[in-house]
Amino acid sequence: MSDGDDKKVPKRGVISAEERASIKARAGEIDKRLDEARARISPKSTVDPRVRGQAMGQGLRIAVDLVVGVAFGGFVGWWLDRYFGTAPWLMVVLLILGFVAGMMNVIRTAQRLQAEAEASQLAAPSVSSRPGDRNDDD
Amino acid sequence: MEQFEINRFLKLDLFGLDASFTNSSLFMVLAVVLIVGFLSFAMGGRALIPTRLQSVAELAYEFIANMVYENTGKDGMKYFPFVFTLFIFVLVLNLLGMMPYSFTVTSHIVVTFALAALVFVVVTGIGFARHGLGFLKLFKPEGLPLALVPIIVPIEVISFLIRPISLSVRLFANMMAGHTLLKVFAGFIVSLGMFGGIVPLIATVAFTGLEFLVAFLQAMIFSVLTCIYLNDAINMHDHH
Repeated sequence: MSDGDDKKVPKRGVISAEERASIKARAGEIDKRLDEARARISPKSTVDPRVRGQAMGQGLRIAVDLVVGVAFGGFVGWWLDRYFGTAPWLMVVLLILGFVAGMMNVIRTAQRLQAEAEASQLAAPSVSSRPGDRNDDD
Repeated sequence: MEQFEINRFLKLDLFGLDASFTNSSLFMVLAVVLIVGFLSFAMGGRALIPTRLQSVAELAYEFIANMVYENTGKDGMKYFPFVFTLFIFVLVLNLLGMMPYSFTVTSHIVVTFALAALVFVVVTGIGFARHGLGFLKLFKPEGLPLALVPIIVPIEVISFLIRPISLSVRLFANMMAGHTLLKVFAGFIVSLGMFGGIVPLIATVAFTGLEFLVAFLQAMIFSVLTCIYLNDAINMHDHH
């Protein structure tokens, strides 16, 4: 424990102004490098939750369209069969027609959604400059 | 389940029809009062620079106005009040249902089917009023070979008739399924006890968040589809 040591090593807990500045600069640099590394490992998710929510809604929309056509056709066919006493022919026919009608609604919905998606993609400048991306949707 | 039960508060018999004032009616009245109260309070200032509440009201207005304009074009803006009323009514009913101890009106198919039937009647009425019997051309696509008419026309008619059903089933099924799911998972918390219950607790919290999203989403889908059907009635399959 000599006096010389005390002079070289500054008092604990006291940091000079230059030291503080250099620590801050280093921390800033580390932050920057961390951000870069993070971006490399997991590029920022481009799907924002609102888009995901909309996609979920669209999925449910199509699912119900599909089921309701068959159910409606089957029910109306069954009811008409009971009324006319032609079981099971009207039910069979209407089940098929109902299925096709439901399918058609699904296709129309999908076409509309596709058209909307394409329109919004073309409107986005970051996408329209890369024409190759358009194939991803098909 | 208890949360879906209808309780009659005021027994009322209208010409043999049960028109009692139920908890369902109560929440519908509550929704209407809330909507009217909120909108008139929020827009009361009519400030050029809106307050927070006023911007919420304006946001809702613009959201639906854009939706109607994009889906039906300029002619459809006449029916904006109809779509806006439907949207805000369904949205508030869905959100009221998210409150503990409350009642979810839209989890009953009677209510959603009544709303969908209203849309159906209005849309069909507008179609016939605007195009007369020409509205029936909706069922016969342009340039259809005569041989295919007996097949395509019934299919088109059915696909038109199932619209109110899919519209109502979608809303009712989503609301009921969501609330049932929450109830089931919440039941697991109790039965699994202190430690095992943590997993279902997390799931319940997550599902509650999801339910809020669904509440908004279903109100939006209901009004988007109303707009699309309106477009069929106004512009007959023309797209914008």
